[in-house]
Amino acid sequence: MTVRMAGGFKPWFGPEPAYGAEIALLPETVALLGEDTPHLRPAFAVEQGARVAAGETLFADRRRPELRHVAPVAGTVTEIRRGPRRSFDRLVIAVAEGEARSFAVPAQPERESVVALMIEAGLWPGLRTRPFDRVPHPGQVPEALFVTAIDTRPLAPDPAAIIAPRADWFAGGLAALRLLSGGRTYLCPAAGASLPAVAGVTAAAFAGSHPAGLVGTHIHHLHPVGAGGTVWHVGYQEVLALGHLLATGRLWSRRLVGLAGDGLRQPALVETVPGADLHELCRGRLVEGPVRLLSGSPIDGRIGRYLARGHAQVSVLRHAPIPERRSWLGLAADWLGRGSGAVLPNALHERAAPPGILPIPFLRAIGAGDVETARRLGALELAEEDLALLTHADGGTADFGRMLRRVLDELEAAQ
Amino acid sequence: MIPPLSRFAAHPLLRGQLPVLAGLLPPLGWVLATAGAGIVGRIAVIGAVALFWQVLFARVRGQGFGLEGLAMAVLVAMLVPETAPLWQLVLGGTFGMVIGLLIFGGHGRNLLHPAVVTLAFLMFSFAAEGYRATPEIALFTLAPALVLLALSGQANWRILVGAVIGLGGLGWLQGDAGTLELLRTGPFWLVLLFLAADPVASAATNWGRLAHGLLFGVLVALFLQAGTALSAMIFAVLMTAIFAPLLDQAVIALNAGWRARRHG
Repeated sequence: MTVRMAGGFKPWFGPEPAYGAEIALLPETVALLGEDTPHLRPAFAVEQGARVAAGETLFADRRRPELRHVAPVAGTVTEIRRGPRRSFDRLVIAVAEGEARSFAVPAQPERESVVALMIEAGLWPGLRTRPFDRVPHPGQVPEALFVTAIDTRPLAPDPAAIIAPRADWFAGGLAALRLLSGGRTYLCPAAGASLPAVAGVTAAAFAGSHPAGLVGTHIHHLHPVGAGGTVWHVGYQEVLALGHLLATGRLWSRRLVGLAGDGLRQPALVETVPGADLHELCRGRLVEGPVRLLSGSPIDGRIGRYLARGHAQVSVLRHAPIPERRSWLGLAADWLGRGSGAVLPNALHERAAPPGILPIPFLRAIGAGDVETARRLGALELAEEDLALLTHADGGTADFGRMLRRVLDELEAAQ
Repeated sequence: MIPPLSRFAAHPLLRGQLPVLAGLLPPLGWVLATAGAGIVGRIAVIGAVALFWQVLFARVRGQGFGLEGLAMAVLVAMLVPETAPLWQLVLGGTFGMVIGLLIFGGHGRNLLHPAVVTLAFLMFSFAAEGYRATPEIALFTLAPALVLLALSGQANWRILVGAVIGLGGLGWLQGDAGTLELLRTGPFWLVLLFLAADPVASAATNWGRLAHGLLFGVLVALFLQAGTALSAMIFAVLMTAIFAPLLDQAVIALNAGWRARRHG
């Protein structure tokens, strides 16, 4: 089955990067980020300065033990930093030689044993729900499970090329994940990509421009949620990690990341570790002049020092600094160009909108905090990443993703 | 490698009033060449009035503003007669900017185009001054505006197509050659491109836009029975813009109903 998407567009961030062969690049520091698991209240199992083995538990949420995070590599915990109101900001590990913990892999995988293994190995937070895009509770059974193996974000590497040399792990992980779903399990690759077929997994290929590769689009076409029901989704590298764990009993402490953008001399597909230090990944590859490092794509990436969970690309963009002295003409143009801050409808909004969403009424509803109208217009189908293209098309000054999250938080609290 | 057109699709220069002002330049040049430099004075006066109110509201509200006041001044100056007294333009421009645009919270939150409010105010209040007379503007001067506004996504093609179908269809049914003749005049396309198809003061959903265009065309054909072409078009724009939120609400209700059915 192939779904062809009309509409959508690919924002221009330079020509399509020509990723060569994979380069192994292991940084000296890695970090686990609080931003990757919002609302986490961590109970730490290690202290600053402790030596940890790969796969050793670092911390878990106090109320939700399934939100367990393990060390991706062996090393020393050099920093545990708190954010505002004692939230968790990041935990930094200096990589060192050390052993890797091995996990007891069930000989005959069943739902309970796979869930227990995923929680034990820190893979559970890779799963997300729709609606709300939260880490699911292990007791719940989703109506369907979506595995995303397509990436249409600008400058993103091709998932099929990453999966191909690891097809056995992918098939093994997929076969185990199938047990989690209460209904169908969908594998969503790009049209024309050849991925390993697994019994009981429905393949549904997608073709088209950018929102075509987002899981929100797949869910909309294959198993719409909103009024009731929950589906789960997971990225292709998490499937590889589970497959590796089931095959070897050890954590797959590697991630494939595409480095691209106009701030790089040469795009590169690197094999690195989760939470890698972006400064180390980009060292020696940057062009002259100031650049911005984003974990993620140019449209929905996060500015930060470390690779965020689930991100398969790092965008390096040239950064135009604000000049210290400006001509009065430039100042006048800025002053006139500020605008009123309202959404000015444009035909581009319709092209950038997620499928089935009326962009202008929806953006006006979330901008005004009108939760009920936003729900009627489909807020429950969406997550931040679905509105990233709209934010870009609108000019990037208003962060629609954050407005949507505020609406989703209210809807979640009302449930 | 040549970048695709989408590189420019989201460019900030295409999103504000610059395409509008660029599209207004050819008709403005044509008016300058045929009717003399009087229009420059009118633009200066109305522009100054618009700027005054924009700056005042921006200061009070701590908000920014754009070039929409200048675009409104050029549009009004082109559509009023040369003999219009300046004090009336000052009064009309004030009413249009404040009531049509600024009290709603500035550009993007307004329901009506300020130039439409200004012109309707002048036509109502000073019936003897000839504000209803249709000015002469050559059709070919609007061709760049059509390309610019349609390509930059500001004038939605659904509104343009709907308006032509609505006006042409009703004119054909009426058997009225004058109505069909209007489609080949410059002022009609000026009003359609810049006022009826204004992205803010028109429907904001795709089906709503088609209905918006149709309604505009039909209303122009109806109002033409009892008035000049300009007054028919301006009041048609005014009425359609007032109905635009209703058209959008209908589309929103259909969308919500479709979603409710689809999601069980």
